[in-house]
Amino acid sequence: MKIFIVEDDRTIQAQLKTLLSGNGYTVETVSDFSNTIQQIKAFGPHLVLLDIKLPGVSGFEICSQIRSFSDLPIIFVTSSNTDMDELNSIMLGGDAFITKPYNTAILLAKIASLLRRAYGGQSKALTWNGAALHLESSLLAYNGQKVELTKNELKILYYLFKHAGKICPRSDILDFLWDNQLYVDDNALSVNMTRIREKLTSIGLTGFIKTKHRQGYTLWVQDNI
Amino acid sequence: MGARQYLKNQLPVVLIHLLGMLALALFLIASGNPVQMVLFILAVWLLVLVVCLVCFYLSRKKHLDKLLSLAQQLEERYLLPEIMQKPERADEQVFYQMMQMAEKSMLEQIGQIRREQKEYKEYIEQWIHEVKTPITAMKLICENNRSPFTRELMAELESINRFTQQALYYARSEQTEKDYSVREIHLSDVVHGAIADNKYLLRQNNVAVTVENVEYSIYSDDKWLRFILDQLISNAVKYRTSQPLLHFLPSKKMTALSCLSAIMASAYQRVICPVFSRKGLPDKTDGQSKVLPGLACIFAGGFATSWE
Repeated sequence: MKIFIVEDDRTIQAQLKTLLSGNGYTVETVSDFSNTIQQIKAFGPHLVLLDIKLPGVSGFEICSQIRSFSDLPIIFVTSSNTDMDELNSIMLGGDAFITKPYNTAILLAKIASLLRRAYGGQSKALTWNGAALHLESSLLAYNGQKVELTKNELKILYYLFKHAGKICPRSDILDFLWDNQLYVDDNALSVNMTRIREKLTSIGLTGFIKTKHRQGYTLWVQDNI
Repeated sequence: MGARQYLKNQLPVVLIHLLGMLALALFLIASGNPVQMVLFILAVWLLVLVVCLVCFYLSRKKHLDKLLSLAQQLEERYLLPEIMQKPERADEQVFYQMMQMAEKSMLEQIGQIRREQKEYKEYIEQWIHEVKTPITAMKLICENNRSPFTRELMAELESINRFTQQALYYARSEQTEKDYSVREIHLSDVVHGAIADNKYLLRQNNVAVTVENVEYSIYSDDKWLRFILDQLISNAVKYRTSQPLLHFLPSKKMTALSCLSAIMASAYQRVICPVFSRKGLPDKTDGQSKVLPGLACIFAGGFATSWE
């Protein structure tokens, strides 16, 4: 999925690009505000992140121009949080209004939900080494066996599956859980990990999650299971 | 207007009349008029003088009492010359002219102060919006380079953002009618949003958070509500106990004030309530204690109208 960023602050532009690229999106940023529309047309994004106050032009103006040729989702990201700006953004066809300094988890969730709504759902199952994590039914399946997961367990496994092959620090997992409104502490994470391991063992996935001492957790590669 | 003071002011007139009476009496006696006649003339003169003084006093008193009552009814008393009638008496006209000049000067001063205040407020709001850009940039840099060091920075950034929000909402609090719009919002979005804004602060201080029963649609202003919850959370963390627990438990049947205290766990009531009642606060009061009591009404109003 391609995202176009219209933002005048170079640091935010670069950091947003890093953040979104790291989450699997192809990102392009505006280079010249005098022909933003041409750049958007040339890139053909699936979604536009649009600031309101831009040099020489208003984000509202750009939004109106985009709406004249496309229905692609537009998210307004601005430091102004007045009702009037929010109302204007909705009236002109904006799909969401996020104020700075935005929570990146909320921004990513909003982007994902708008893209899903506009272009259809993605696969709801994540797989790794034969194990399939079904998000909608909250189940983990392996070799025809299934085990039900609680909300916390599902989110922890989702994070590990999304970062399969990499080491996931405990603090990153905790960050992810807090971003998903699951306010667990370090001890609760340990308890959840123990329960997940028990459930994995019950369907034959012994050693599926490996603990890296002082580093975090990782999903083990198939050869070593 | 007091009678004694009026009489004191009229003393020169009375004295002139008495002198006139004395001179007339001497002249009439010297002219061979009988004493009874002289006494009668003096009595009539005295009577006329007293009647005149009393009539003038009553008329002046009525007129001035009317002006006084008019002034007392006015909210902005310096506007009195606008509504009072132009006086007939020459001396009063001078005073009227002076009042008009004073009013003009006062209006100019007020206009200038209002303009300056408005400009300052606009500047503060503009500055806060501008400072949010580097805060956002720093937050993104930290998010993209997560480490224990950047997590500490993120907690500090949350504080910076909270202080800028305090300044913004304090500037806006005098014109809430322009900024406070009540609409249907999801309580869970507001509560979780406020927790997300303080994620690093809560985690750094090992605060356990539980949220219960927030799946309601309520009618309030989400910005203000979130701001107030944000301030409550930071306050709760500031005065935390050894094993802090922040419990969000709203109830459908609440009075405005019980809502304020009950939204936080009972362990925190000791902390939250003093802030709102402005009692038992530490000697060193900060911006937060200044903003919060004023906002409590808005917060309570929003909840009371939507939940009761």
